[in-house]
Amino acid sequence: MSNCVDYQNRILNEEKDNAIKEHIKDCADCKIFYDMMNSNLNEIEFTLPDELISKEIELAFETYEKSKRLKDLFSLFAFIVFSSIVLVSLTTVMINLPIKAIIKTSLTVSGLLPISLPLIIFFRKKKVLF
Amino acid sequence: MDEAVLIKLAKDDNKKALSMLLSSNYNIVYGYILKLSRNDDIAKDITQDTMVKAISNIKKFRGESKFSTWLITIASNQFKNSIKKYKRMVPLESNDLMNILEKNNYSNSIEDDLVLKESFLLLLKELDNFKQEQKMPFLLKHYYGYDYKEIAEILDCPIGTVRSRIHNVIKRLKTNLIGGNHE
Repeated sequence: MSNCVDYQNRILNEEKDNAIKEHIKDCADCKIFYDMMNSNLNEIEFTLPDELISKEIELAFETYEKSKRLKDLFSLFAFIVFSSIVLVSLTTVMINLPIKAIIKTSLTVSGLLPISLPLIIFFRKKKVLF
Repeated sequence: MDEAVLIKLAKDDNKKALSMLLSSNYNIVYGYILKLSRNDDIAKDITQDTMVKAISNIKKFRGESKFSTWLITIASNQFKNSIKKYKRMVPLESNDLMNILEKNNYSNSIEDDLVLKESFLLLLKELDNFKQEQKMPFLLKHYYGYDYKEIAEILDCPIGTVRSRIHNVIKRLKTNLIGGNHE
């Protein structure tokens, strides 16, 4: 019996030498195990008809387009909300501050623009923004 | 057309090339998930999700593996993430699975073909007694011919874990299918 365990371990390790072949001639259980390990069961595959596959692929592209549009819309919305918050905050700050501070803020904002513009372009290229 | 050429075209936004790549690998993904879940609806859903994910991430595909391997990796992750969602779905009976198989012949003799398909379904039913993380490496090794290293990469787990999981599945299958009197 321990002999069979040894043979089955060798079959498990995908060995196919003559000793194994000789053994399985006399041992029905090891033959079943050998057949199972070396069967062509892996040739069996579940398949779908070609027409259905084409339809499903087309549907996958449509789903992708829809989700992409939704993502773009969400990014645009997030951008508008973010810009509005910044704008409102700045305006509020400017209203309550004296002229010196307003000029200072304006200069800061205008200074920020050249930095923010390439950033917007970068994020747009990366498809993060609209 | 060569797969590498199709991949290059697909990465350059060629929809037709990507469509050809996905079509030629559709049955591999569908078959893999159907073997794991034994449920046609789950298999169709996850295959579809895999295709959508592949379309949106095609530019990230580095071509280090075969395209089918990349799809199998995505499908495995999709399946792992959806196990809870599909927990209540009942696996199909062998008769229903046989109906799906009946379209193809794998042997010249009708009897041999039937025996082969029945053995296949018996094995699938037996595999249902295992956890998904055990079934996955077994199927990838013995149905799709991946080596241990590739399976470890696909399932994102250590190679030793893959080895022991496959070994345990075979050991238990051996006991369940041909009896445990040799243990």
